[in-house]
Amino acid sequence: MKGVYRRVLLFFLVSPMFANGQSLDSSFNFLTNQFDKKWTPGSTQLIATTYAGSNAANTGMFTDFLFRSSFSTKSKESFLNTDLSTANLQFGNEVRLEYKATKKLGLYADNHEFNSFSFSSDLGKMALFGNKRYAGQTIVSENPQVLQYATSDLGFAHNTINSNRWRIKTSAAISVLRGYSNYRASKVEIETEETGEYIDLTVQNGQWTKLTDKKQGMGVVLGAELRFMPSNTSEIYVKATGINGYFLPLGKVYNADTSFRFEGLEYTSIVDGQLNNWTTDSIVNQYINENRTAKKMVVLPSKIAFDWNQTFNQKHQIGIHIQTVGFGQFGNYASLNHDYTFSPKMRLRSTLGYGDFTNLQLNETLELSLKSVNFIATFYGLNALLLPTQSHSYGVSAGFSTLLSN
Amino acid sequence: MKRLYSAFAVAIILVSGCQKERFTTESEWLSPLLKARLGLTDLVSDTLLKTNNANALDLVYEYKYDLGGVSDILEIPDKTEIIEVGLSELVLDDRTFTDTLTLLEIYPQSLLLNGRTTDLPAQDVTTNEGTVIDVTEQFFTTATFIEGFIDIEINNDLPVEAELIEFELLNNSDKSVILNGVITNLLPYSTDKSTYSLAGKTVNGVLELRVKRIKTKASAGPVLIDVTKGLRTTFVVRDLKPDKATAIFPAQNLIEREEETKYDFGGAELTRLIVKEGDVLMKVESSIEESIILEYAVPNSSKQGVSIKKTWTIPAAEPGKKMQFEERFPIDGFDIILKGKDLYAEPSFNHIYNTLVARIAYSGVERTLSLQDKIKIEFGLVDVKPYLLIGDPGIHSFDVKDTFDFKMIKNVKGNISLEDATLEMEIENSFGIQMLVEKLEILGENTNRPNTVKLTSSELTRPILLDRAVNGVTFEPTYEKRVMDKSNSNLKLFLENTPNRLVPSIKAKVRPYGTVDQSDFAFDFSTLKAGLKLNVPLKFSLDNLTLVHNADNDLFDNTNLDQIKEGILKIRATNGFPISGQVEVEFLDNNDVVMDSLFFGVKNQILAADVDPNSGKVSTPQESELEATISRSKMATLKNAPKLRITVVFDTKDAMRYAMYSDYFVDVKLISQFIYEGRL
Repeated sequence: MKGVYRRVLLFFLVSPMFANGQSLDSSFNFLTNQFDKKWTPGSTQLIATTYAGSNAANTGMFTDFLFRSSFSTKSKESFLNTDLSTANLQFGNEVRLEYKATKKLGLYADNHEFNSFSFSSDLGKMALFGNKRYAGQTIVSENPQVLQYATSDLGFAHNTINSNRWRIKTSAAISVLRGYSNYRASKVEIETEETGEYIDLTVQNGQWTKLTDKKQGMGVVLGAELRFMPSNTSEIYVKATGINGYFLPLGKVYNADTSFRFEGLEYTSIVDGQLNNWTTDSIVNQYINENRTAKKMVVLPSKIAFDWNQTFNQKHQIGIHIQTVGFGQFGNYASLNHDYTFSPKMRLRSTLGYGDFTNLQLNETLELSLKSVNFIATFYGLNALLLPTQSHSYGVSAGFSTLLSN
Repeated sequence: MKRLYSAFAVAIILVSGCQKERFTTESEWLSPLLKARLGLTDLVSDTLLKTNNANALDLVYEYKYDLGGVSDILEIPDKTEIIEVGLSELVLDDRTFTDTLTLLEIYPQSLLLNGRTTDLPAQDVTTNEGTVIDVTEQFFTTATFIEGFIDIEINNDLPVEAELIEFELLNNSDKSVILNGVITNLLPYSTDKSTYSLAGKTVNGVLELRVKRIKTKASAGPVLIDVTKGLRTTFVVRDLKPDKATAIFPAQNLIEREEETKYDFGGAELTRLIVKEGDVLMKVESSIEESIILEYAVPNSSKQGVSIKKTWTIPAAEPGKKMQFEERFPIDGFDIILKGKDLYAEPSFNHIYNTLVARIAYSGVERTLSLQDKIKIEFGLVDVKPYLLIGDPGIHSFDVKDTFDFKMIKNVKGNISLEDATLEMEIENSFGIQMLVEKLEILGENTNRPNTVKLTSSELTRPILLDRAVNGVTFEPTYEKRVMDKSNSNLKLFLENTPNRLVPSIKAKVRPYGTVDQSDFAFDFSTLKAGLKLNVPLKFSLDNLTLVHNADNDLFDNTNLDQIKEGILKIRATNGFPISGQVEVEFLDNNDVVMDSLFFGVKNQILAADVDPNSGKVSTPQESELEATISRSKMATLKNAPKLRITVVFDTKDAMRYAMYSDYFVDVKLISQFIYEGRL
């Protein structure tokens, strides 16, 4: 089982945003979520996800990052020419394994790495390609935020209600938090003097919370899913996951609310041909150090999703999916999907979505239902294949589910 | 499923076989690197610059140079003496022991007559038995003598005459005979005394007195019989000089020595020495199985009313072993008279009167000592540094030639034209000894040109006689000053050679005309010192004056500068000096061959400020921008070059001489515009 798990991780990537539709065919464990509906003891599902999305960085840049040694001129220019007020970038991966132990209880393990960057488009461009193009300008970034962390959860899922009309699934887990780092400010301003004689930096209400190196936090993660099926052809689905709280034994928050001008290192004397007494703005350093305090509790962004699926006939189904992460702070996303069932063994879902961390994206998901195993593969952001510099997210994903024992 | 697993395996092999190159991203950054406002006080040490009345600057260079100190005239040599003695003076006290051979022992039947007055018959007793006498406590356990005597005194306390007494004294252990004797006709109540030599004899503490025959006459009539009376024998051992003895020894001196130790100060005749630091060394090697007490003293010395005096106790050596002992007794601050024992008689200099006593103290413990036991003592004054010496230092001379860097002008090529300069040379004598400077010469070397100019002046060729310093209420050295300028020397020419090394050569004679009453003196701080004070009004012209700074190229070591791919380096200067500058930075290989240059002579000029022709002062600072474009290939060369050389060529505007003022500054800003390679 371990070998299969590793190979799947290496070879397949699965989208986290599977739309859920009501199915007339109970053989599709993923696209119709028969895995939870049947809740068959001994059944197992593995979902592995890697995702990268941005409203500003284009998929050409992602391709360059994955397969080239540097950005191509085309993708770089396209990025620099985008005219957005805010640049968002999010990437990460998640692996979730769930096992139905009894008719009521399931066990799951989840590993999640999350990286999110959100600041003004110009600041993003400057961070990536330098400040030369901004000489003589002041770059302002309102509410910039960088959040990075990794979690490992071990918990149980409960088949709370499971009827023809209602289905409620709840979950709870203990979780380990690693590599937590969160920077945010109400405003950051950077001015590069036109000829480079000075650089002014202003930070308002800056806060940087981080876990001391190699130290971990401990927390609890809760989740709840509610499915309501008003009729045999329609389904409403509300899901709240990742509701959490973590204790950081050695967490520190650095506060900065200051501005300073950097004019280069300054020296005050030369003795015997040697430059002495190099100085820089020591007041700033002192200010930051003196404003370092302990931070013991953090809450990571949770996800709330809403789905509505409507079945028209044996072949066609449509759905709407809306989700928000961190109450919008780390992304809102909405999509419209269409399912086409070729046979009881194969179904295709086409999704057209839009998000502030993904921009417009077209996804195609194919699920195969074989004898004892269901496979799924998703091509995420297919529009990038046609217009790489105009697209902002993509991926390839896969997963499987099977019944380990009866 | 097998096909699926096979597909996974192939995929893993493919993926792991295609290692992706590390991703890099290039960004272009514009940033200030450094800024500075430099005046002459920043470029030249504050101590070298003085602002004169006109608010212009003078360059003042002062250098003090020690020509010689006390150690160059004389040193106090270590002086130790070694004494090795045996126990030739080993003594044992005279001891006495008395034993009585009673009438009862001679004539046992007399017991019946005791207390009565009656006739006492003649006796003639012959025996081979003796009386054991234990004198261990009174004498010693055992001793072998070189000299010594035993007196045997026999008192006849009997009322009859002893016609014959034959006796022997034996060592009880081996029955060896120490002595034997015969006494005849010893009248009643009379005494006989005989003396026997103990030379060469070994005497134990447990003896046997064997009376071989006693013959007494009968009483002439009735006599009072007292059986406790008899022949009372008193043994007296005296004048004992043992070769070896096991005994409790009395206190005794082994060494008693007085000496006027002579010191050789290399021709100096000193009468008094105050020690700054130094020690009395006492080094002892002893095989004597008794603790030795050493007392060393220098009676003619004092420190707060106390003379040098120190007592050491050397522990007893273990049998068959030697005791090693070494200790130093500090004599810092002691005032020692070097006139021998009698301060008013010869010798009158260079002699330290000292005494040494080595003795055995009474310990009450039995020890075995022999004449073969020895004690070796090394003692004397060592590592003595004087605080004050008084006397006649003798004839000496300083002949000093030295070289030192002249830091005021360093790594300079090109020409400088000075308006004027003054050099004050001051010789200071803080010895209480007359000094005569016979020769004084200064060479100025410019090793870059290379060229050497000798400073010539009548002030240098005249001999300089410095009288003794005065040690009165205050200590006052003596001085002699010589002043040189362009009117009486070639000083201007000397300085315009821009020497970076000075080579002074000085010859001075100590006590050239003798001393009076041996009253010359020298403190530990006494020196013959030459002071140079160079005053150069900073009014000069510069013609291609070139400053060169060589350094290892470590700009890219352990820094992120290594990730700079190419860029432009700009120097913005606002120059308030009437001096223009031309900057070049060259990158060299290990053989100092230029690999590449930063400016290549282009855009490397710092323009001179404009000068008001009436006041001669700068009216408007000039702004200049120096720019070096560093291509990727050049950057690679710069990173690999092991050395760099920075050269700045200075010229004054219109080759005129200008005064430098304290409010002249050059503002420099270094700005970079680099393409930086980030690695993700």
